[in-house]
Amino acid sequence: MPLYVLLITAFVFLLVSAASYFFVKKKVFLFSVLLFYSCSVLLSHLLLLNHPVIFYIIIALLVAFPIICLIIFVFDVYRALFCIDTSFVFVVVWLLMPALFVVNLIIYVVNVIYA
Amino acid sequence: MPESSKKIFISAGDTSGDIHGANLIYSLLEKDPEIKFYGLGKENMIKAGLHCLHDMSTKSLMWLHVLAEISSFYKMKKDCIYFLKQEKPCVVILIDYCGFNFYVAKAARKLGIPVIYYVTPQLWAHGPWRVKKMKKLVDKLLVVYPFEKPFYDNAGIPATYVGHPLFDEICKIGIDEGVVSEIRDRHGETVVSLLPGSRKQEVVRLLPLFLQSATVIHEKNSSVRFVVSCSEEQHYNLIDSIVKEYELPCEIIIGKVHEVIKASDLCIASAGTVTLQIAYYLKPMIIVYKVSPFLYFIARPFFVTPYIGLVNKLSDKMIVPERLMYRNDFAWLAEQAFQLIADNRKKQTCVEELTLLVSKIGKPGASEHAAEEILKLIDSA
Repeated sequence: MPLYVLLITAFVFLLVSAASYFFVKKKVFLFSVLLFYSCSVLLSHLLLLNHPVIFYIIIALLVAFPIICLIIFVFDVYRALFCIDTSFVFVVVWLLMPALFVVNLIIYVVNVIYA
Repeated sequence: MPESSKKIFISAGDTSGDIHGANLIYSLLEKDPEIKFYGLGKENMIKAGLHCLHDMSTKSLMWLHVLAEISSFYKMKKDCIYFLKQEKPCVVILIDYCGFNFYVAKAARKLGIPVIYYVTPQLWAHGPWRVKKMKKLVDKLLVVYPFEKPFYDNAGIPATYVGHPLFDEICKIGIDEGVVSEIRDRHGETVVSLLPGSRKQEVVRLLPLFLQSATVIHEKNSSVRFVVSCSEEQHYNLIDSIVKEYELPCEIIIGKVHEVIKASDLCIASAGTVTLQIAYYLKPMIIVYKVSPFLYFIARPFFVTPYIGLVNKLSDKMIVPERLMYRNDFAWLAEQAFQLIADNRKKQTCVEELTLLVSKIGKPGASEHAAEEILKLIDSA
């Protein structure tokens, strides 16, 4: 599969995630977030085959961290674990999701230029 | 009753919380002058007799601004926990300010100290799932709006409706009619007051929007005069610098919110408790709140009530115009303001609805009822 297809697919799922979040469609949001991260991780992996360290840094900061934030929020909603209002995790999530897409886009463009 | 049972820990962070806290202290002292109060508050609570562990005057922060103050909040939390451990007060009373007060509640519950929440955070508006936290951390709620009681009853938290302490404050302080007539004499026929809120961030976000719409109103009707209410003296310079950017007949009045409202024909206000004050004086108003587009996007899914204004929520219908904005929609604001100034029928309908609302909720006695409930809980503990 050409890499640009993955890039476009990730972008589409990013938009669907944003729309479903805004209009509170929980199932669509979870589904599209899952697909966005799947596409983005696969894309990063394919783009950074020769740079595993950068790949793992991206996964840790831009994938694992926001997903952990979302899991914490879900646990907090159901179990009231923290004193603080954990809804602020969405600020982190919505900063890092587009950041992941932009990072992939930059790496893709750099790859195309130097190919 | 042992000496330790006469100590009450009380915590408030906002200006309005400080005023309600002070009134509660006065009411409790009236019933039992032996009680000693410790905790967090501002000048009003200190004046009422609070032994203040930390002055909260500079700590009315919102959203991410809290991060800049995180070390001082950590120290405050540590000091509160140390105090609770050492002094074992008979009860902990929390007033609004849930971002910090939930930590105090958690510490108190761990030590077996009963926790009462007075003026609860507006969980019914944005974050009903947080009611579980409340249930975990609090023994009793003293709620200030009638619709809050069923909301908390359904969640299984003991709640008592005591009324809104704002109306105690209004009755207690009275109003300086001299200032009201001075404002009216100085500004003539139509006075529009701009009330951007007590927090610095609110002033920065809302005042330019209010002044832009004021410019449009003034272009349409040059007899309209504007008054900006500055509730915190420390914000005067900031407000003054913003107002000077606009060439408007506009006066800034410090600390006379009630007089400013009473002298006004129309109030343009930030969504908050001030809207109840405006309702009390039966003045038509427009309620506005503004956030950045990013925060609007983040926060929008969490709003579960269709209203941002308390008066609309309490009436369960749109009795005054309101809008949550993420851009400078000053044209809408100016249009609504102009209609309420020029259209007498619309103005009259608005006043009638406010009259009906105030007849239901605008009675004093909240602080006294709250004090009774608190003493009942202390006696039963």
